[in-house]
Amino acid sequence: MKNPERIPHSRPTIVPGMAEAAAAVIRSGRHASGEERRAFEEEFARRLAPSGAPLHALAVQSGFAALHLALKAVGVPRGAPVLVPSYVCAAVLHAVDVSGARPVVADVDPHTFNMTAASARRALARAGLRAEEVACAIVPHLLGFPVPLHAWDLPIPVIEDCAMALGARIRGNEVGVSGRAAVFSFYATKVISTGQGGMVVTRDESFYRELCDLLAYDNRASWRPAFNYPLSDVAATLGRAQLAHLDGFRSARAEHAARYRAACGRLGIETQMPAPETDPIYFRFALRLRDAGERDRVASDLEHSGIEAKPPVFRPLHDYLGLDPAGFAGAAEAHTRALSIPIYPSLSAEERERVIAALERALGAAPRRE
Amino acid sequence: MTSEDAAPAASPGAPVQAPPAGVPVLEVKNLKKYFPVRKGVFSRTVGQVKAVDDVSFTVQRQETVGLVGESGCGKTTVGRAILRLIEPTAGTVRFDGVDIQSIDAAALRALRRKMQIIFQDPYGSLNPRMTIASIIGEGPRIHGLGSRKEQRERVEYLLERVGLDAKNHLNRYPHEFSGGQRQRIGIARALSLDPEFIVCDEAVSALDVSIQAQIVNLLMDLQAEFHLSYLFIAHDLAVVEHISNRVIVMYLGRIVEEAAALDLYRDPRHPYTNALLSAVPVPEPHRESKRTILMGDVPSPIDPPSGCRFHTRCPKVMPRCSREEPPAFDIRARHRSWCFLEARDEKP
Repeated sequence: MKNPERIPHSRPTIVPGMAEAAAAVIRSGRHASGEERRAFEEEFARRLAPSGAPLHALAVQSGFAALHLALKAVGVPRGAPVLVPSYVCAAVLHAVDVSGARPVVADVDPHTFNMTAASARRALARAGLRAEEVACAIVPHLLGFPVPLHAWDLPIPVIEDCAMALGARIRGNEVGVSGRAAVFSFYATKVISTGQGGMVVTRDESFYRELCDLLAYDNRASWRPAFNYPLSDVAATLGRAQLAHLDGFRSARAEHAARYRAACGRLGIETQMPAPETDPIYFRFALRLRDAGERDRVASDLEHSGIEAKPPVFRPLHDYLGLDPAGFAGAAEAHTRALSIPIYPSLSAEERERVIAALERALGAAPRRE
Repeated sequence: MTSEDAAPAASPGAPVQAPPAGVPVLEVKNLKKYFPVRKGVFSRTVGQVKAVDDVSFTVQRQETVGLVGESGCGKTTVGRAILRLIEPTAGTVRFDGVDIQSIDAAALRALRRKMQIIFQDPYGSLNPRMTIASIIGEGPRIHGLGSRKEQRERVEYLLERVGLDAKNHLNRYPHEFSGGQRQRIGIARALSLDPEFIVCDEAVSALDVSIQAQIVNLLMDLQAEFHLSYLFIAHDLAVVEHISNRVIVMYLGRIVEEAAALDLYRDPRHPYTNALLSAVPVPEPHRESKRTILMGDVPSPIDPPSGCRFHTRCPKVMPRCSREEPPAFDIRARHRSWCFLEARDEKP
C-alpha cells in the first residue's frame, strides 16, 4: 500500500485568482506605487471595523516590522518597561529589544495560554513597577485565542498582537480594534498570507500620522530615523485576494476545530480554552497533554503516522531571559503540555480524520476522562 | 460622590477587613441537599428528594451569577443552603474562604451580616406589624451597629438610596406600599448590614415587567456602589441575561451548563439551555424562530432518570445518555456543558 502523504503542521492556503492578480501587478510595472497597498489597507480596515469610528491601517513588510513601528509610534523611551507575556514567540522580544525598551515578562493562564490582567499585575509587582510607569503592553491573542480585552482594566496602552488572530472575535467584534493599536502578520503560514507581510491598525488619528511619518524614508526636510517598511504592491495584491476569503478560512478552521474538539472530548484530552466572550480563529489547535513525556510520545507517534505536530511556542521568554521560573508556572505548564496539531483551511477532511485516528491510536480509544 | 452623599457606615468603629485577594466571595463544592420522603404511621423514610445533587460553582467579587432552571430544579434550595437557612446533606460552602459549616453559632451570626437574601414575595417577606423604619433598622439593632441616631440615619439613607422618600415612608406599614416599593424595602433591609453577598431569590419574578426592569437596574447600581456580589436566582432567562455576568443552568438538582452570560445566550450548548432560551419571547413579531418545545413533565427528583437526567425530555437524546452520566465538557474558559453532544462526531 502506498504511504499516505505527510501532513505538515502548517501549510499556506492558495486561493483562486491570487496568482493572476499578482501577475497583473507585475506586468503593470507598478511594483511600488502604493496603489495596491492602499487598497489592501482600506479593505483591511473596513473588514475589521465596518462601522463606528474609522480605523486606519498601514501595511508593512512583516509582523515584526508592524510591532517595531507600533512601539516606535507609542513613543517608548529607551529603557522604558514594556509588558509582554512569557508564552509567546521570540519575535515579540526582538521587537522590544530593537525598540530599546525593557521587557517586563508576565505569566500566562495555563488554560487560555494568554496573559491576563491579574498575571500582568503580578509581573508589575515583581518588577516593583506601577502600571503608570509602563510604556505599553504587548498583548498577543496567542494561537488565535483572544484575550478578553473588554475586561482588561490596567491603565497601560495596549498594542494588540494579532499576528495569529486575524478573524478572531471579542464579544462579536474583530480583534484589533480594542487597543491603542494592533499588529498583524501575513507570514506564509498565518491566517492570511502575503509570503511576508504585516499591518498596523489604530483608531487614533495622531498615532496613525506618527506611523506614516516613521515610514517617510526619503525626501524629508529634516532628519529623523525612519523605516523602509511599506509592503510591496505585489505582496499587497496577494493580501487582498486572501482577505476576500477570510470568512471561508474562518469557517474551515472552525469546522476542523469542532471535529478535533469532539475527538478530544471522547479521548478526555484537554485543549487550549477560549476565554469567556471570545471566539478564536483556531490558528492552531493545541492539545494540553498530561506532561512533557506524554506530549513527546504523542508527537512521536503522530510523526510515525506521517503527521507533523509540535509545541506551538519554541521556548517561553522567561526561559530565554533566565528569569526565576517560580513566577512563570502558567507559561511553564502551557509549554510543557501543549502540542499543536495540523489545522488550516487547506487541510482536507480526510487528512483531519487521519490526524484524529492517529490521536486515537496514540492515546488509546478508551476515554482518559475520570 | 460628594461627602453629603456618602453612606453612613453600617458599623462605625468596626475594623474593616480586606477580603482575601484572589479568594472568591463564595465557593460551593459538591453541595447536596436531600429531603427525606416519609410515609406511614411511624414516618419511616421511604425515599429521598434529591433537590440538589452535587452542585459546585463559585461567585467572584462583584460578580453576578444567574442561577436558572424550571420550578423544582433545586435553585432555591441552593440559595438557602448557601446561607445555611437549611443544612446541606453534603458538600462545602466557603464564604470569603471560610467553611460556613465548620463555624460556631457566634461566628455564623457575624458571617450572616455579610450574606443577605432578597425574597421573591415582597408581600409575605415583610412583617405587617412593623413599620418600615423598624423592618430596615432591625438588623443593625440586633447586631448592635452604631448608635440609635446612626441607625436611624442609615435607614433613611438606604430608603432614599432604593428610591423611596424616607420622610414620608419611614413610619408606614408594608400594606401601604405597592409590590415594587415593597421589594425596594426588602432590598434596603438586605443592605442594612452592609453585606458583601446577596442571594436574590426570584427577587423580581412577582413584579410587573416594567417594575422588574427598575428593580434590576437598581440592583446593578447598588452593586457598583456597595461592591456587592449577587447570586441571582430566577426562572426567567431574559431577566437573568440583563443582570448576570455568568449564568448557571440547573435541571433536576444538577448543573447542566454554565458560561459567561454573553456566551450562554449566543452559543448555548446544552439542549436544555436551548429549550429554555427558545421559550424567551423575542420582541420581533416577524421573526420566525425555531422553538424547542420540551415534551413531558420534569421527572420526579425522588427517582431521577439514570444517566443524563435530561435524557427523558431531550430532543437530541443518544443511546449512551440513558446509561452514562455526562461529565463536564469545556467549551471555553468557564463555559462548560454536561452533555455528550460535545463528544459526538457530528452535530445532529
